[in-house]
Amino acid sequence: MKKLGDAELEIMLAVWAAGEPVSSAYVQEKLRGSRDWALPAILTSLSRLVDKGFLACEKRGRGNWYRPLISESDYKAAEGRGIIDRLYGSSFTGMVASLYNGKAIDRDDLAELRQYLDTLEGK
Amino acid sequence: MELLLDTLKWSVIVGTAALALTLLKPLLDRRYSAKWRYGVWLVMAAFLLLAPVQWEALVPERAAAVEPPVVIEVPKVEVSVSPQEGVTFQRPALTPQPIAAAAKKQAVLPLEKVLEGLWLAGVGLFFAYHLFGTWYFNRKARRWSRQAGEETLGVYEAVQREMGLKKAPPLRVSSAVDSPMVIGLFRPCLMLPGEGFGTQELAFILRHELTHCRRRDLWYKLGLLAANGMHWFNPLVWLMRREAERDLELTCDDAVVAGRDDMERRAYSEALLASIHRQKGLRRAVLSTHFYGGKEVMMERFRNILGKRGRKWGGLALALVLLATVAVACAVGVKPSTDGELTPEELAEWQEKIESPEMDHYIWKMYTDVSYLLSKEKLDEMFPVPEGVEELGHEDINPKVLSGVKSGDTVTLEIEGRFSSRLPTGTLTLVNEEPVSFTTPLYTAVETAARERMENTAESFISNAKEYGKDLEFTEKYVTNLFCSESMTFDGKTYYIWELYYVMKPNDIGNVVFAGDISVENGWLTTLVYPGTPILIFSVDGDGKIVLEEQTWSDTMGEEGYTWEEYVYCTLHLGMGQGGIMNGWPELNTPFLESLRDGHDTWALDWQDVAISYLSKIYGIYADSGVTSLRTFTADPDSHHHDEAVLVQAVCGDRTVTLLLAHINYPVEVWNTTMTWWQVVGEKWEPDRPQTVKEQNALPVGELTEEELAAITDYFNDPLHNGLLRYPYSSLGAGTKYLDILLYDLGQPVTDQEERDALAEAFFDGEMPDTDCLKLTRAFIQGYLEQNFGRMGNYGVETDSSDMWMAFDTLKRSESLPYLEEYDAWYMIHGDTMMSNYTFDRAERDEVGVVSLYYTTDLWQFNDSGELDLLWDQPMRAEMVLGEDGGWRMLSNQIAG
Repeated sequence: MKKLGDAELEIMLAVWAAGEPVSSAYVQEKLRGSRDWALPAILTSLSRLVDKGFLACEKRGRGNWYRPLISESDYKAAEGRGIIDRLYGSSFTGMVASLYNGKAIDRDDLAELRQYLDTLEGK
Repeated sequence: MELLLDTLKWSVIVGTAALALTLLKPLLDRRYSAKWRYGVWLVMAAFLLLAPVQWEALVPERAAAVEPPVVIEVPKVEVSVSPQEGVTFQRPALTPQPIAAAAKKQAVLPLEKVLEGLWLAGVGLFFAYHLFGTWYFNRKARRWSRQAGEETLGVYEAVQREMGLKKAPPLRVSSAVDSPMVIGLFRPCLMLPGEGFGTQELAFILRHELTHCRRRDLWYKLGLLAANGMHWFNPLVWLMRREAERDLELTCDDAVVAGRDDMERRAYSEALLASIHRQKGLRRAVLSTHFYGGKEVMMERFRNILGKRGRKWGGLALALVLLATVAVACAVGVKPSTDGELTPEELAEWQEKIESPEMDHYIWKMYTDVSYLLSKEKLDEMFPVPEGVEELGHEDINPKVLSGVKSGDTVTLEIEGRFSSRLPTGTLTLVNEEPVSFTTPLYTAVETAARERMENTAESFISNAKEYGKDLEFTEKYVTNLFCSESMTFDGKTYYIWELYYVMKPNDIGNVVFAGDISVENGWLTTLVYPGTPILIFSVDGDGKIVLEEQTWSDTMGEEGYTWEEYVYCTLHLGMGQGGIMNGWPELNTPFLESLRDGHDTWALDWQDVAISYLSKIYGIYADSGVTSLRTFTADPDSHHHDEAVLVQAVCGDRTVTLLLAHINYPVEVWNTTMTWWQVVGEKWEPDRPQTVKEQNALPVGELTEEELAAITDYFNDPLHNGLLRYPYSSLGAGTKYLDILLYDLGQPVTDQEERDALAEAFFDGEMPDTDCLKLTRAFIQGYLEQNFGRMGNYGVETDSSDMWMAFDTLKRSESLPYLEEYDAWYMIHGDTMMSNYTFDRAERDEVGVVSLYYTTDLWQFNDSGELDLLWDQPMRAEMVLGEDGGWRMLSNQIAG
């Protein structure tokens, strides 16, 4: 699987988030704010993503519609196979202020926490 | 090493404090909120980070409590030449330079170096891991992020307004994060793992994260991380960081729910749990425990959110804990390095330190080149090292630390080393382990004297130049070398021979008027010239009193022929009078050498005989108890003219005499041999020197007494001596001068009838006149001259001068004086005595015994008409010496004035 560049990934994220085939105009709209691209630039990127095999392009009426060929989780898993991700355990909490440490809690813990919270609230 | 030690110290102290706090937490939690611990951790992290700083120095009471500055007791410096008594020169320290030879040695790595290396490597690894990890994680989170939806952003804005935030970080959604979080120290960004939270749940989440943002919690975490990195070896610090991060969340929760009722608190707790629930890909089981902050933390947070409110902030507790930590730290910090005398362990430590190649080299330099004032470049510039010559290594000095005192950063060590100069001890001062100075009281004194000598030389050059109208100045002056070439101890008093080298740069070499003790090298005046290097001889007695005994030149000693030991012991220590090895007694002259060669004067081959002879011949004293040897010296015969010397003592009545006798080695080239004998070269009398035989026989100096003058009158009114004063003479070598003296009333009466007849026959037609007849033979003339003018050479009188005899021979032909061939005699025949009348005014004797006689003479002579004319009437002055027979030896007779 080929690797996505930052801009490409951003486009893919927009496509994945849509959950249905999207138009180039949709992508442009979703990227507004972080990447204010002109339509031709977006079209170029989209066609490259088609070439790379990430998107399929369908012609519907006057415009092209794009749908993902590779799912978000698949690509994420592929990218996460890198040596660095493995080294850092695919998570790094040293310098972030997170709400909780999700990696340290499993499903059984969750049940226990639920129970504990109920006990506290029941007081 | 110091760095590691300090780090270790603080690591242990803070780590222990962290452990104590963690253990006490359940107890403290009942009364205080997490907020005070949040503060404690921060300050502790600061302590850990600032561990290498010298805290002890920053605490004022400590400095005040220190004992008075340590002074190693040194005797007061007394330099007899210097007005600056007791001035302490602090020589600038040489920065210890790594020596090429030492560097090659590749000493075994000491343990401390290994430990320090390990520690630093750990620190590096820790920071590299976290730096890269943070960068990588942030990049990944951002890369996988997209803009949040309208709804989410709406809630975000509402929360911002509610919290009164004017500026907030951007909010994005990233599938690379598994919990809502804030990332980025400088450009913070709020990341949500996804969307679709309930509005209230989302609001709580955002409030929590914005609180982190507002409190700059990422910087707090960075501080903890850095402290952890520096103290990576300490598990207690890891524990501390974990506790601190837990408290960070607790206090954040506290801030979120502050002032809210139970319902809202429950809602917040539910929101927390729900958001964990919502997390995608929640694991079936946690694979390892290395992910901290799981179930237990969440439970504690729930307890905290829903639990007792109104707990105290705990500022006082915070302050107390911090104070205790600092106190303990200071106490521990002081303990291994208390001011005052160093402990044996510390001394051993210093011993090890001064044995390092750099320190060893430094101490060696300071010991040998007492006044090593020049930089290496300066020396190279003045005296460039010829190519191909490598610097010589230095001897092994084996410095030993005898004692030491510490005062703050300053350590003063008393060091003893083995040096060629045999200077045993010195005081090394170090500040923060860097040598600052090395000195001994002797160095101080020597240095002062050396500088003074150089300055004096410069002054005399300047004043010399001024006399020639030249404006001389010295732009630079340096003592380039000053070292102790020899030292010796006599009766507890040690003498040091210091050689001094200095250079002075004149403003113009043309301004220098050269004389004596200086030469030029590369435009600098240097001391490397005849009469050798300047020498300073110092002594230190048992009380530590330092005295500059003498200043001389190295070649002076060579000329006199003494060894330093002989010279210092006899001249300086005993105060003996000496005149140089070759100027002793018996006198070195040809008759003596010939006599010795021919097997006579064998007493000179035995030092006891020489000493006894000397005393009897020079002083007329017989050393009845003999002479005893006190000390012997050995010398190099090639450079000292003798191979051995002996110091002897003899008791002579009330006096004690000490003599130095040298065994002379004297090469006589014409005989192709080396003569050896003993010679007295020095003497010292106690309590005082007696008179020599010569002195005893000497007559008093000054005006002669009336009686003496009367005797002189009688002497010269005797016909035999009357003529001696008649005519002036100064140059007695000219024989003609004697004629006037001799040919007057002198001679032996002619008693032999045959002789008288022959005389009558030859000169008076057979009829001898009835007058006195005196005859002068050659023997008589010579005898008379010797009698009255001394032997040849004694007073410069030539009694056997061929000039004189030629003058007499001329008289034969002139026939003005009768001469008979057969008797070889001149005859004087006259009837009257023609005595001169002298009036003696006074006479004076000088130190060498020459008497000046002042008198007036009236000399009359018959004129042609047979009357007496006054020839002269003159004040005269005669010089004469009293002979052993009581007669006078004439030196001169001249018109006075």
